[in-house]
Amino acid sequence: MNASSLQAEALTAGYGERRVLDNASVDIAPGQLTAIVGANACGKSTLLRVLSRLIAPASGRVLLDGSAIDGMAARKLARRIGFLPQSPMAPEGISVLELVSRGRHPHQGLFRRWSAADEAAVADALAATGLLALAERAVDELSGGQRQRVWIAMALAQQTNVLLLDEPTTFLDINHQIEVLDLLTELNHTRGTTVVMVLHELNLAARYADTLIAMAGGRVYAAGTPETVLTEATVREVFGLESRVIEDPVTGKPMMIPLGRHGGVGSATRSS
Amino acid sequence: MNHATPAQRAELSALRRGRFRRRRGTLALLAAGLLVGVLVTLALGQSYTPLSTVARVLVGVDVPGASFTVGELRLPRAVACLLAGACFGLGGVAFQTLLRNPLASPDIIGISSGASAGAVFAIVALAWSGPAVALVAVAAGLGVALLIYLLSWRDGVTGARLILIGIGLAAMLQSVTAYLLMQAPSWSLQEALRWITGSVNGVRLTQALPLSLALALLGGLLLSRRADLDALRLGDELAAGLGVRLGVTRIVVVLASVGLVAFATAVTGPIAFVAFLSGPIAARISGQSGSLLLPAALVGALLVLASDYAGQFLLPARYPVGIVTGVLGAPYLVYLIVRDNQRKGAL
Amino acid sequence: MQGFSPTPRARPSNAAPARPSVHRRYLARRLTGAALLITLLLGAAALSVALGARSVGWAEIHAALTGQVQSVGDAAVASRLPRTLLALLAGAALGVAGGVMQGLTRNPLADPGLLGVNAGAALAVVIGIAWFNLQTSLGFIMSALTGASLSAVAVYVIASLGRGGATPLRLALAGAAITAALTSLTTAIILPRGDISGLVQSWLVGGVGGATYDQITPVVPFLAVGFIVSVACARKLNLLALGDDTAAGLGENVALARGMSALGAVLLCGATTAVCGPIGFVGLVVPHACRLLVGTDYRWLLPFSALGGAILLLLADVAGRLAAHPAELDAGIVTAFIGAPVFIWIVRRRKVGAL
Repeated sequence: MNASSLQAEALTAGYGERRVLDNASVDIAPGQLTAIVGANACGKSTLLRVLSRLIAPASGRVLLDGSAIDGMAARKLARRIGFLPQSPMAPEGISVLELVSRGRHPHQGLFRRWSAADEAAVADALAATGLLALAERAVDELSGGQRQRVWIAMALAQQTNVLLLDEPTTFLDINHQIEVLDLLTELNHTRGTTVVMVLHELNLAARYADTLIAMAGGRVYAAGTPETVLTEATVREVFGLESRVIEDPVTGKPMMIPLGRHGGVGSATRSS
Repeated sequence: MNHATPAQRAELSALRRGRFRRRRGTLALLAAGLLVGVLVTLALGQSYTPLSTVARVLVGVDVPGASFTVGELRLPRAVACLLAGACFGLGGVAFQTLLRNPLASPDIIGISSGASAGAVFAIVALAWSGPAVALVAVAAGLGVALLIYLLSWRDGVTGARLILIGIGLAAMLQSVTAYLLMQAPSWSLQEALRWITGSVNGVRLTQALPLSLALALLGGLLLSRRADLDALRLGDELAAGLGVRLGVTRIVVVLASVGLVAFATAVTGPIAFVAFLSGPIAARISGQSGSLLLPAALVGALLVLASDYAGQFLLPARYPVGIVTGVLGAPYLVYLIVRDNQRKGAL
Repeated sequence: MQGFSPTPRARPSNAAPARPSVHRRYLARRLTGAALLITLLLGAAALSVALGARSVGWAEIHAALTGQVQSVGDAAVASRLPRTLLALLAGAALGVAGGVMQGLTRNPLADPGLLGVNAGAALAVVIGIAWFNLQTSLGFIMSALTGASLSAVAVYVIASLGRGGATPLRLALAGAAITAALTSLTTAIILPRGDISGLVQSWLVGGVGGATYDQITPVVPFLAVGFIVSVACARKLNLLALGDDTAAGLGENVALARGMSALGAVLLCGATTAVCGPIGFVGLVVPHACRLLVGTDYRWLLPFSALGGAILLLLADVAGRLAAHPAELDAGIVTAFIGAPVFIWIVRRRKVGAL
């Protein structure tokens, strides 16, 4: 599968009168794993929605492999960009197999029925997420981590070159957060899928992403490798928080430690 | 990243085939139930007509006595029950799926009441009859649907507000119907009950024709959208991500299901709770595999047919079908409220 | 209910000397409101006596009021007197009952009609007539009260089972479900009985037309007790509005407060339904309108709701007589027309989470 690039040029968007994105531009290289970070209401989810064309921008445009997405047919676009909202709701009683099969929707037409390619895509998606044994189980009986894997499997079955995820780790325990991020990394490495996700947890974002995009006030404040973006200055500007950024002893990536009003444990850190 | 082995793929295919078979089995079972139901209602009423005689009447042989009881009385009734039930079932489940809420069915949010008020207005105030009444009913149903939508719009439409506004409008429309009925030159209880709770008494075969056309056209339209409706059950955003065109799908589904419900209401009145009940019952019977549209249509037809038969012959007195479904449906609505309370409370 | 705050209170830094004047301004406002409502009430009552299918002159009105009925016109006016009295009493009762129910359930959509109470009263009366050969007005009232209280309890219990308690949406839905079931049952009982089938009509839509003093007299004691109990509960309702825990913390016996105010509300709407049939939306609309006038204090709100309810039902009845001239439109239909838009307005102005 080929990797795709995604560019946003000078996006402005909002809900009704409220402007949430203000002249935001991003450039996502093919095959990258990108994390968008920022404080609440900085426009990061809106950016993701505009990138997936759930929201039409008031001005600016989104380019997929160099061509604008706004004229593309809905199913055609859905075969190239997958989107997973923050906490999707599974219909009551639906089985894992069936939910994952829904990912084939854009590949099916009015008269084209279920094909061998569909079956293979679903089977591979289940295998990749380790869900083959759970195929017959009802989604609402699964644990939070397993459920998130089911949704990712659905997006995998969609077989898109680009996958956009809105906070895929919220409401998950830390072990399941790591599990989900590992899975996305694997997907990115083996299939070359371009992954863009909104993440709340800065340190996990820095650890897993090739590229960090830090947003503030509807604009892109900084974008680049975690080392260039996750700095004490960025954290101060984007989150309004005093922090210390050190090197993660395990991965060598930057790691942010908040200081808070009382400067952490004691005066020692402040004076150093 | 792991790929599935051929053996695993085969296993999944087998699983899926099993589900398809079960689904087809359920559909066949429902259809068989309907067939048996129709035969029973044709053969067994106040008097028993042998099936052979029923068959002869159906192919057009003139049998003294039976031609009247079966051909004039029982057949139109059975046909009206089937068609109206299927229309209510389809329209109801499409609405419930679109709004992802079992309570958002056209009979609870006032669309049936609107169609009924329209039909009564055409009959009483304009002294119209026949297809013109159906058209007024459809227009009124669509008008009410539009009104509910506009009134519940405030930074988007949410289920709770839409349902509550629908309940409020329904209360008003029901009193419109009651008022119009009282203006009618002769207050006939049976006729009034048709427009208040729904009834198939005195229905004629000619009324079935527009209804079957509506069912074929609008039902076909809905069925052609069933993949999109299925995707919509995952939520608007995910569905859009899967390539569903939300705006077009919403408009098509709303128009088609309001049309179905309104056409049926124009013939039988707003048979209480059938649109509301059919979808959830179909989901319970057929499991989650595949679209609920066909099962719900069959369940709706069966529900109306069986309730009408029970209302005629199985209860101590003769009741119109809407009374029977009204008494049946209310406990289920209560169950739904209570169950929802015990879960997260997504209402 | 939180949405209805009284006029923004001035908060000067030197609060102590300012307070009496704020109080006085409140009182003045309320007294002005009361005077206004009483004037309106008198006007509405006058209209109700003077206007109708037959147009009459002053002489005929005077004759009827002084009890000298000679002409047809005199008789027409005389027949409007009990009707006016009933509209006044029933409207007041429904207004107060609605206010009490909204306080009791802390739910802005509470209304005897929407919560299935009227349908319960109707079913009980029909059962009484069909199976127990009920004939006396006292019998009607007692069975209406029984039905009203049973269905009120059922709706409330259904809506508040489980977590989350009785939200407006759940109460409205439970009310709709119970109403549908009870209405079906009522019809099912009446249908096979040719002798009483004329009753269907009167239990579908309520009104005050054709009232006689003989019908009104037996309900007066019930209404009187209902009014007294309800008004006596006003202070308790003020505390309940703060939440059960807070009310208990402030020394209120919550169960007793709820029981008493429920008794008051059921007495009022059950007795009303026994004479008038189901009249919806008066109990919904009136307390909301009065809150705009006097704020959220139930000690003021309930008496105002009584006045407002009486005015609304009187005017609805008069409008019904004029709108469908020479026929008459039942007051219950008119109130539904006024009430449903108000209901929708209340739903629209609330946040989604609060539904």
